[in-house]
Amino acid sequence: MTVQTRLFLAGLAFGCGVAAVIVAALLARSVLG
Amino acid sequence: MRTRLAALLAAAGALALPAAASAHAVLLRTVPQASVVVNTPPAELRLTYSEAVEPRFAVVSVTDAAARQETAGPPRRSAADPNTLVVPLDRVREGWYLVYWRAISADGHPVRGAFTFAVGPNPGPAPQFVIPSTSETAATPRLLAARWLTFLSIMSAVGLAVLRLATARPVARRVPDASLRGVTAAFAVAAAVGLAAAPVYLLLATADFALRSWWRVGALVPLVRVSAFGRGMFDLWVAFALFAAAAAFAIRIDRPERERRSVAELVAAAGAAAAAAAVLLVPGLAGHAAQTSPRGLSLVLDWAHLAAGSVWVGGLLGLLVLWRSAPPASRVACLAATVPRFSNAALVSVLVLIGSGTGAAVIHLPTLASLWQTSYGRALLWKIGLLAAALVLAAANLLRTRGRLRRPATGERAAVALRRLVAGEGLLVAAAVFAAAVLSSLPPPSKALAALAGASAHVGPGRIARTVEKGGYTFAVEVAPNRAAMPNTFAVHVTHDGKPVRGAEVVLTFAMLDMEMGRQAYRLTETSPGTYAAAKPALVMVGHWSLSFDVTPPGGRQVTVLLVDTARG
Repeated sequence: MTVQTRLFLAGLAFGCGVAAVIVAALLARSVLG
Repeated sequence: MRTRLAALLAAAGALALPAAASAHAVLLRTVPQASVVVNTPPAELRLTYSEAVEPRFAVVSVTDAAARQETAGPPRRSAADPNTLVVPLDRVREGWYLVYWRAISADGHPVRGAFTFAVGPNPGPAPQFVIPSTSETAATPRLLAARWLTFLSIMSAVGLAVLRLATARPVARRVPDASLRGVTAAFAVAAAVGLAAAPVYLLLATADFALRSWWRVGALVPLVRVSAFGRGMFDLWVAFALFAAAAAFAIRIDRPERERRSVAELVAAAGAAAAAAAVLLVPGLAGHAAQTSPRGLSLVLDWAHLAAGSVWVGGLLGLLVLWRSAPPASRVACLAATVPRFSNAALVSVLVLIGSGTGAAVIHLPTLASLWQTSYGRALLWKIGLLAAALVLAAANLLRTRGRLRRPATGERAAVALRRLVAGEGLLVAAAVFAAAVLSSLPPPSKALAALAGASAHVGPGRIARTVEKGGYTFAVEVAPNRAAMPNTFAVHVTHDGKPVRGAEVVLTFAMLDMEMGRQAYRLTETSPGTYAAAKPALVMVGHWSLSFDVTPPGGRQVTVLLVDTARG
């Protein structure tokens, strides 16, 4: 696996993490008001 | 120091979140008023709840004495007030009408109730309406099984990812020809089961809310995000899919044979950890934690509880997989490299599990007795018992097997014993997750239970005529007919030294004891010297109620008489 591929997959993983946090934060805002 | 300060500020911020008023939707007002005779036929029925209930899941029927349906259309939300449902009526004639309603609360619990009203001027005597069941549960076997599978697979996937990326990582370096592929495969299976089980659970719950068959998927899908509970579970699915992807990428680029991680590996692991943290927050937001005061503390405890449980259950599963997938010659070495690290993680998890569980129990249970007197408390006792049994096995592993694994003479036998103990521990923890699925499907006990130590008498079912002495006064309480979901007459005759007490202020407060429904208070009017009465449809459902008569005589101090009433339908 090339360095570029590894960095790309790491970026994807980090992006998924940020997206999951955003999903939870939006739900928290709608529930807690 | 800075980290501690940040943690303290985060905790203070979480605790400062606004408190929820009540866990379940309560019918606050109706137009026409319950058990009142109106002179002009109403064109519509208006029901105002304590929260915005979804009209597409609400069922409202209005029937006359001959059980003829009088609604002219489905319920819709009032444009002026989101908490009010409006139901159009046919042109109703003189007579009595029964209103029967069902709504879904924000946390997914169904609530039902009934009341009557009459159209005058001469409606005649109130008929004996046949009232359908006013109790309903979210803890059906089908929903419980789906909920258990969803949570067990999600928790296992998170715990297996932690084991693969952190706890068991050194195995690949320390043990020649050992591989972590088995753990990776177990993570993939748990993630796949979770991704399949969550939408099935969501569809089953939506089918129950909408009173439709669950296999009518086409009709149910548009309704999935309609309820607050459905939105929460849908977001859990989305967040879990993002976590599964993040963890899969992080595992794909991880090179466990190298001790130091590269920047890419660290970034990917951070993404997976953030996604896991987000996933474990969602069940609390969609369940009891977000509806129980103090909400901030409840959510933090729920998150910590789920995180600790995930590390434990996923780790146990991972240890078994590691044992099975390792070459027979390397099994003992694999376990010797993993078990001490896992034992430390499991010990911390268990301490967090006990601490957060105790904290949550204190918040949810108003009295110690509600632990064995309510179904919620009994499910909690089952969960505690199962976890205690798992802890006994965990302690045996920690204290005996861990040390023997390292010694060549006892290693092989210790590994066999460890595998058996870990399998037993895993089964007990999986059973405890089932108890948690039951627990989170039951309504938590009412806060009103806390006041019951001062109850003057336990009364009902059936008509009540009870005399209570308190504070030098005599209170003769009458409730007739003391039946749920219909108007009852509540009266109290107050005397002091044998003489009626006139001009007192008497407030009667109702609280449901079987689930949190908020309180309703009514001022009683003096109908004859010393007798205060009102006719109200206040006992809106079958079960146990606290009736609190707050009597303030003119120029005197307030005296409270508390009765625990059992009302049947």
